[in-house]
Amino acid sequence: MVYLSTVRLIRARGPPKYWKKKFVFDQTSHFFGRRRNCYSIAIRALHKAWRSAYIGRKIKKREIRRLWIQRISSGVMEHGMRYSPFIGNLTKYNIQLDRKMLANLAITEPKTFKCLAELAKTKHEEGLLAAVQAYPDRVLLRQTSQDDLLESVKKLRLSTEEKTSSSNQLT
Amino acid sequence: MSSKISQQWAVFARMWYLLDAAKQPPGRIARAVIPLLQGKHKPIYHPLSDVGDHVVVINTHQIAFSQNKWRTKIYKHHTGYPGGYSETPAFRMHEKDSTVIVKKAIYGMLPKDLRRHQMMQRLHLFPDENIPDDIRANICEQIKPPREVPKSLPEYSEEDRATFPRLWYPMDPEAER
Amino acid sequence: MTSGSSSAFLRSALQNGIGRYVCQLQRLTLQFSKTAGSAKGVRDFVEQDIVGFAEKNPQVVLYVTPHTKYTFPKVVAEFLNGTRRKVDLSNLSREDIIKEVELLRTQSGVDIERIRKQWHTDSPSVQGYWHPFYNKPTQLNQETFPTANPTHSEVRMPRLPKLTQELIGELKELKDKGKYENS
Repeated sequence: MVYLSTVRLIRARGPPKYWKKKFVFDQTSHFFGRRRNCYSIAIRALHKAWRSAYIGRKIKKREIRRLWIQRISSGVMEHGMRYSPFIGNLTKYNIQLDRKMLANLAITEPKTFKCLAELAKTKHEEGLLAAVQAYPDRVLLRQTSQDDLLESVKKLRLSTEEKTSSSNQLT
Repeated sequence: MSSKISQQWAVFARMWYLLDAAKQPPGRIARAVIPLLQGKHKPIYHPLSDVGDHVVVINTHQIAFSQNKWRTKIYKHHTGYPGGYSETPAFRMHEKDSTVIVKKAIYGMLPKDLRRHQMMQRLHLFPDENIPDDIRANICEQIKPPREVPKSLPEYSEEDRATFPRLWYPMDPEAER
Repeated sequence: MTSGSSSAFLRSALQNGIGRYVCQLQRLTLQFSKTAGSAKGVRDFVEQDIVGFAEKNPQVVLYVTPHTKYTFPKVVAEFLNGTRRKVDLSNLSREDIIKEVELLRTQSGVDIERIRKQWHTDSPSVQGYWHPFYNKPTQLNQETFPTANPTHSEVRMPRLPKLTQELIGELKELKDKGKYENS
């Protein structure tokens, strides 16, 4: 360590011009070219750096949250679930783990995270089932077996035959 | 501390995935492959840490375009010199090199930054089923084809064809009456 | 700001205080002048409090060194981890010096730095870290590739729960009921 403060104090008496500049140059010491040592350029560069640092402090929070969500989403995908229903169903169980902790759990405690994913999945399916039972008419049955398909085809054929026969009768 | 390191070594292990591109559209192949190349399927994902996996795509000769894209999809190129513009339809591209369409589709969908070249190095494309043995030995898992592989009629057995549900019978004598 | 101050993660000296407490302060050297006015407080401290301090803390070695060569009064503390810390005591009252010494007695000797994180753990993972093979099906070990039954796929959320035969029947009944009621 070299103690220069006292030496500089003796040299620079009078108005605090020297100290003002030193305050700026200390902060621009790692800039490129004349932005480092020429005062009028350095002060402009410093003001810009402050502005971007101010913005960066806000952006950092968003970026980190985005990363947590990405990590949770990829962790949950391994257990056949997606991010959005996962988070939604955890809140239904009143599990108040935030995204930071969930992302940490996905990496460091994978079994706990798996249990959370299973929990959300069952809740999600329960919700769907309730919806199906409330409005059975509006639900399209998808995973029907082949026999069901055959039955419905037969019904269709019967109804068409009836229609044709009835139309014949009318004529 | 060394015990801590031994706990972590498997975390950054690289996986090798296999994808059969037969009868798959190139865009759907790219969609399936890209998160794996980026490492976005891992909870340890970070854009600056290189955690992507290897993907081996076989049978790229048998990719399938919908509609008449083999003729209408055109790959454009300009060398930068006057008169250096060239247009190549997809089927000609495929004749020259049958891996290049998949490669271009994936390259175009990856994020446009310096990581893209590293990710492309981890992509291995083969026109047919022949893979070098050193690559085959690495493969850990196979990806489900993104589109259901369509079956042609001769591939169905007699029983399947008989029991297949029909809405109408073309040669039904009763219906003709 | 730009040069960067030193920073460290939260730590304690050898997990002190979890099982038993070991005082980390080993030596205290009081250096002061016999005559100077700035050392008045130190002299008061030596006259009134130092014996009581030494009796209470037998593990701390105390050196009291009055000498005119000292330009200002100070206390030098040496800790178990080898840290040596000097504290300026000039123009301090007796009460202030008691506080300074008490602070040194309770310190761990770890350098005072900006703490990057407010928490620390020696075992971040109890169940073992996640790794790419953690949630993979075990039959992949015996598989030869390419296989007829690929396992890895993009997740598609089910629109419906897995429909068992019972459930299908139940739903059909419900549907039929609805139809008749409406008509």
